[in-house]
Amino acid sequence: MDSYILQKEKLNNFLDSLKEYEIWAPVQKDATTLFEVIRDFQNISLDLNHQPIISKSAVFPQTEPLFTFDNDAAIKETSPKEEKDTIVFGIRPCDARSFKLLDPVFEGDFPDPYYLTRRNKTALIGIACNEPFPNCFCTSIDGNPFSKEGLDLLFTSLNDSFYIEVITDKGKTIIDKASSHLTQAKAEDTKEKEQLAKASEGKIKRQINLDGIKEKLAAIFEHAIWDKFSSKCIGCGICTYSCPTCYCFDMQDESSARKGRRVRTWDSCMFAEYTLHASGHNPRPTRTERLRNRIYHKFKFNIDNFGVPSCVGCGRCIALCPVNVDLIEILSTIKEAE
Amino acid sequence: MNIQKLKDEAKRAIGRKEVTHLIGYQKGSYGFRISPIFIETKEELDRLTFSPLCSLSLVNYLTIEGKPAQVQSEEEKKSKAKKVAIFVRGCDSRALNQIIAEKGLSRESLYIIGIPCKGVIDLKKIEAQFPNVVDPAEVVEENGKYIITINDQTHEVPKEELIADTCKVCQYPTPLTYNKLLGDKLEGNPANYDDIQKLEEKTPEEKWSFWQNQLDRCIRCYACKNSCPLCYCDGCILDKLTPQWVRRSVDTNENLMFHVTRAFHLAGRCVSCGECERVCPVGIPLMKLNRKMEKDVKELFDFEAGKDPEVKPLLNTFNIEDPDDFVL
Amino acid sequence: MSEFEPNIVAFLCNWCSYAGADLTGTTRTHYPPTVKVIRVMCTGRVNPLFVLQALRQGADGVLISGCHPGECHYLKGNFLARRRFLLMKNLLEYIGINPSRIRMSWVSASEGKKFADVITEVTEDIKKLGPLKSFKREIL
Repeated sequence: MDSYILQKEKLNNFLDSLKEYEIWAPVQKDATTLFEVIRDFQNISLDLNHQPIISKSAVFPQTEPLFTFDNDAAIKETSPKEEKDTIVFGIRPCDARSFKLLDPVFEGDFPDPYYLTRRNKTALIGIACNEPFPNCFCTSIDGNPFSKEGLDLLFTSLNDSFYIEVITDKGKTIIDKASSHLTQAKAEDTKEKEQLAKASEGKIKRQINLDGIKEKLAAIFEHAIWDKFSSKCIGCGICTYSCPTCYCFDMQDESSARKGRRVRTWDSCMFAEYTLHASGHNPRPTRTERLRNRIYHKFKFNIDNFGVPSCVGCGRCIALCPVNVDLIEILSTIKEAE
Repeated sequence: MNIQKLKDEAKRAIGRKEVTHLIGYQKGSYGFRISPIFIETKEELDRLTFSPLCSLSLVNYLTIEGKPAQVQSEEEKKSKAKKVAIFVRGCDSRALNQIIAEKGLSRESLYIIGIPCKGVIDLKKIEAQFPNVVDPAEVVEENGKYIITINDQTHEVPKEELIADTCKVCQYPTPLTYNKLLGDKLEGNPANYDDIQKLEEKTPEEKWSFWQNQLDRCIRCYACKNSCPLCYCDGCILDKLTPQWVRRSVDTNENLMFHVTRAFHLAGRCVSCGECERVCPVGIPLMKLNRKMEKDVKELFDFEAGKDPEVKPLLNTFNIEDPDDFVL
Repeated sequence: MSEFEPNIVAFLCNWCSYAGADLTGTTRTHYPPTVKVIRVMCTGRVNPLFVLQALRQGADGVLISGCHPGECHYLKGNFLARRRFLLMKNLLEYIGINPSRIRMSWVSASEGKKFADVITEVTEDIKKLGPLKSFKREIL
């Protein structure tokens, strides 16, 4: 499809012409960059040196009310249809790929109207990673820092401008609305972008060959390495909450004497409570079972069920882990385990 | 810190027949990362390290499930059969004292190797200044500067720029309890609560909007809770469903409840290691809550957490002369 | 618009303040009908979570009242409570909740008049502050 050039100083005008959409974008908050709904374009941080976290909440919010109820009236369902058309702007290619991994889960035997409605109404405008982060290993999991998979538009930061590639019809619609700010990309722009893409891929330092990981995992369920890795895990939920492909949730009724609601909230398999039965029995009683399950889910069960690992190689779980539980290290040890 | 000395001491420690294993630091898998290590045999000793990068508290690993040396039965205490050796910094030793005072651990089950600590580096700061470092980096402190070696290139950075905020106001850099102390005792800083006072002086509306702004972005990953050496309860009120004090919904109000509860639970217990703030993935200034409690506890009750394992915990005791003027 | 009537939750200890409140009633002393009394065995039983939860679930203020220092039925419950709620009050003040909303008082079984005075004072103070909006759960 087509490609365009947007001068960087015109970015706000570009976004301005998309006012009918709800726009999510990365916002810098102290040392963190988070995705949130943007009211003021000045707040958007496209700083390529910061890895923004938690883009999935634009489509799969951490807290989602399913219905409300009270003593007098009937149950009132939350209708996902009321959601506005949304753009997630400045999402990284790995994050965009992650939605491709979430889709089959929510499309499964019981299609999830909340996720799917929002997903259909959401367009993803990515920004290519000119500077991969130390733990990026997307190239090891069929991705790359300029991957278009899952995206509707891909921005690439050139010197004073953005190089924009139109990937889908949804992206085309967006471009048509803002076309007055754009110019056609020239051949040299395309060349520059391709050079950047190549350079970026070369900058990825951590790599791992994941061929046969599923078969290997099948053989080492009881291996001592699980104790070794989990002994330092402190059992927080950073890895799962910051993971763009983790989708586990819990559902609870929150009510007072008169009214209440049923909500769906993220849950983390790293919490002891996650598998705790009402009887008090816990099938995953220690951190060993929990950590092992996380790895198995991502690199075995998901391959069994959907044919691909549930990981996009973004490295956030590694970067944010307080105690250096390192997924790449774990995977390479698994590969070598006897 | 002389690493050889550290290894020698560790060797002696695990050589003792009552010591089952040693908890120490090793280099992490990449860049500036540090990882805990559990050593049982002499062969693993070579991986031990200590540097200004060692910001995590090893005390957690004494109380976390699945590890030995937790609360022991009376017989076990008497037999004094098993000990865990552990490296502690000033703040960690206070955490140990506090836990021992609360009867969460017994002193007899520990073999403590104290390290006088000149302060640790805030990972977020160093990784912002030296981004994309994958190869293992070395950091040593010399004359108020950090000498950072990355791929054989050295950089000098003033200590002020990288040191963790809590360490800047650390009052107890030297461990208060230990079996062996590695190195000379260090002088602590005087108590300084200027930042807290500044926030206290704001109007209620300003304070409310400050905290609302900060806590709004909490994702409740509970890293602050789990990385805290003093959060070792066997079952947390956060997991309770009846009554459900804190709901699973993540919104400003529930987040506030969580953080107020957490801060209050640490009143008179927090040892200001600052790990909660450092591990927070969304950068919430949690020490501003903890240090407020620390300040009040010090001013109102003249109490400091973890100074003496024989002193009863603050809220388990009282003084007839406690301030009374707020009571009608 | 009708005048704001505060909603105050009072945790009263069984041995002193609850009996004191009872005496206020039997002597027909008037006090504002703004308090909802919760009887506890001792102020030392009042978990700080109770206070937080009351504020979150619709109370505009909380009163914890027990025996005078030295007169606790359990000898030291009120001393322990005193420490606890001074800290709690300070912490809530620090996050922007007016400390007048968390009050403590010593009311003995014979101080019916004092109980009425305390309730009047607390009510007046909270009336001035208006309803507590900030700490309230949006979904009760």
